[in-house]
Amino acid sequence: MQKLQFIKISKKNRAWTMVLVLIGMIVLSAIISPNFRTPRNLLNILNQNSIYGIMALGMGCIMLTGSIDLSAGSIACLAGVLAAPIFGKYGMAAGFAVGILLGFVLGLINGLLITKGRIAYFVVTLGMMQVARGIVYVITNGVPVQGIPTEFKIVGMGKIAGFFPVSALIWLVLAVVMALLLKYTRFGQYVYALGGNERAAWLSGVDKDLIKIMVYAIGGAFFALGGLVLTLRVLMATADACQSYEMTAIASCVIGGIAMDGGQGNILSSIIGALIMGLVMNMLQLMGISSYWQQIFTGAIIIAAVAVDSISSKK
Amino acid sequence: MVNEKIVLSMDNITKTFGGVPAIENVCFQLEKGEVHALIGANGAGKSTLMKVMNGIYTGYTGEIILDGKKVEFHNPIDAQNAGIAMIHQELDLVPPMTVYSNIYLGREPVKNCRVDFKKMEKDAQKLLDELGFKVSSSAIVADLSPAQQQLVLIARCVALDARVIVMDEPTSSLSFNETEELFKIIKDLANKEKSIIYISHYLEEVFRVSDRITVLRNGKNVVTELTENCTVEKLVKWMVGDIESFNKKYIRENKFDEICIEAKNFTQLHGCVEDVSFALHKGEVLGIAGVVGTGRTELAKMIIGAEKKKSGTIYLNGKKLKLPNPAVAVKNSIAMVPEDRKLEGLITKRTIADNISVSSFGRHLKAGFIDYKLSNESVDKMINYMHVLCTGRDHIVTALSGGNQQKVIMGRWLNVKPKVLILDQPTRGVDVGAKAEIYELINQMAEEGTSILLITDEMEEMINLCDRLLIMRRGKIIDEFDNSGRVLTKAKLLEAMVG
Repeated sequence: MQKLQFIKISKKNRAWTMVLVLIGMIVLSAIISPNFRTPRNLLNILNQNSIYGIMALGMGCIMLTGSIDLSAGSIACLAGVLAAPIFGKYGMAAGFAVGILLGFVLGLINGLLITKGRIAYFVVTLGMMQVARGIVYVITNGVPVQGIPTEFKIVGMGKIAGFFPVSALIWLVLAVVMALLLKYTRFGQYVYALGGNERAAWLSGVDKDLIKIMVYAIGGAFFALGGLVLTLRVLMATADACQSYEMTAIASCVIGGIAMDGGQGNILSSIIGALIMGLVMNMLQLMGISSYWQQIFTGAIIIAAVAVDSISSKK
Repeated sequence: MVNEKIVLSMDNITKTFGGVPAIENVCFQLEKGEVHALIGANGAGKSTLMKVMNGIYTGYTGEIILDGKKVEFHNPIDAQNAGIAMIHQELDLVPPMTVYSNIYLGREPVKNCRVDFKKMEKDAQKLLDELGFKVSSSAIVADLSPAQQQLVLIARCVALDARVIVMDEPTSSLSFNETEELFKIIKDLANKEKSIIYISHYLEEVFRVSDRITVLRNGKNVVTELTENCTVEKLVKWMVGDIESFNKKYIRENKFDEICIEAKNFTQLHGCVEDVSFALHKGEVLGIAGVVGTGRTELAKMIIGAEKKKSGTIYLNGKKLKLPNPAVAVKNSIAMVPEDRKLEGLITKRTIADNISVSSFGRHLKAGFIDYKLSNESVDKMINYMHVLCTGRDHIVTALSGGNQQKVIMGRWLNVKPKVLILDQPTRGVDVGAKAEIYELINQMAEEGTSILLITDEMEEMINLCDRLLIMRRGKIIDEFDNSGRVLTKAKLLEAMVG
């Protein structure tokens, strides 16, 4: 009994431990690099990681039910590619509407295949990853889609009152919205219940298929939003955009303390996770380490975070 | 005093789980070439004893002596190598592989660094022919009938050169003719100096096939007797004991003039439940009695839509209902407390509050959002009402004791007050104090008009709580007892279940 209480405490502490890690890393970076110390650079880090962070919000919901979505990056890219011409022709709102709707629908398809088609989530989302990316190449032929009005850059690169990045604001506001949604709606509590014990939740009257479909659809919408912010940042949609972003999103959630098998964790802590991931990359760059190494680090960090998680809960 | 005939002897075996002995000082002796039946009511300790013998459970006290030598098995492979093989109820074969591969699994003959399939096929066929089994050694196991699969398992035991073969409920998936065949084979094996331990719930089978019978009750030896000296009455008496219950009998004043729920013609899609119908009145506690594996749990799950069915209709207050999944059942006020608390009952990893309120968030909404003040109030009320021992509602549920976990699950439904509540083994793994409290809860819910379907292995609680009892056997309801005076005896009940 005491043993289990210990785990509970350690799980709760996880997010705070990570806040300390984050602060430690910021201090360390500040010592290493004089450039780092400026407040502008700190806000920059917030800006740079907002796209990963937005996608991690969707991924976090999916992970809380006990699965993952490998198609996140591809959905983000496809949303960008489809929305880019609409941004140009019909304006910002139309572009966002189409892009997010697309992500929502692709997520819906993922969810339907997993629940009604009874196919393993791994297979479905791996397949969707290929299909969505394939559609991108069919549409673009590999040529970047351009023609987005320059003023739209405000979403991707703009600053409120000249200092706070717009994209970071979108990220943080949505994070709070998601946290409230998970805490204060039946849907949110059922997400946690499904991750806690799917069969028990089902037998208690939770419509597990519906919840899972919704989770994937919401996830898809967030992935798409991430892709759209990127598109408005670089003012074009490239076919290889958002490659393996799902990995960074998963890593952010795991580092933040969202259990890989679901049921535990706070979606807000994915913010800390995303910032830690971002800082690691930032430090690698500052130390002049090749960007190829970043992939290696992302993979290693995921494995390490999950290992820490499973070792600490085995005790 | 060495008895040449004794192959295996288990002396004073005790195995405890969490401080509670499942078997205590049990002795069991097996002679060469005998068919020895092991019987006892549900939970008497038969499988525990066999699992100790088979090396699945370690950490027991007492001695196992095989051929005059003390042995200690750490896993089933040890036991297998020593000549003890077990045929489990759930026929553990690898279905997509051939019969010969299954027979020699893990011991494939090798020639020139390659598996010698030809030799395997030939040897296996020879073995099957010798045993007189009509099975082709190159057939794929998945294509075989359950009866043939059982023959493959027996052949595997013989190929292993097992001297002791344990058969756990071998007839559960066999037809009448197949059962007859199996009995012949068992006799044959015994004639070939193999010793068979035959576990069954059904006394008629035991009389047909065994030479001796050992009866266990509440984890203790009762008697070992030659089959020819036994009668059904004697065995039943040994299985239940002389002591009738002195515990509290819950007699309610309810009048049963209103049928609450009616189940008609329930048949399982792949399974044993066949054409079961019953009616449950408002405020009635209806017990379903039967041995393990008779389809009680499957029936319960079919009713709430958690198990596939071939046919079956539910009428709630006379209205026909379609219940494709538990969510719809819960919406219609039909709920179940499942048998397996860890796997199906508790939302592990979550708190007591989460576990109690998961089914009742709908009642605590304010403008579509959960009002935690209201929700937590009702959780706290439930925790106090049921005396859940905990530090508070944010206690992780798996950190509670079994009895308190069960109370939390009961609380989930008490909070909702369903019209129909199905309880599957509500007191399994629960200490005596909590048991009494759970009985009180059941009694109270029935008094307040909830119709309860009670499935339990404990005959005593069934007799003390139920207004009426249905006896289930091999997937069918074969009898019904009125228990309005709570005067049914355990012996009568058990005889109906196994006799």
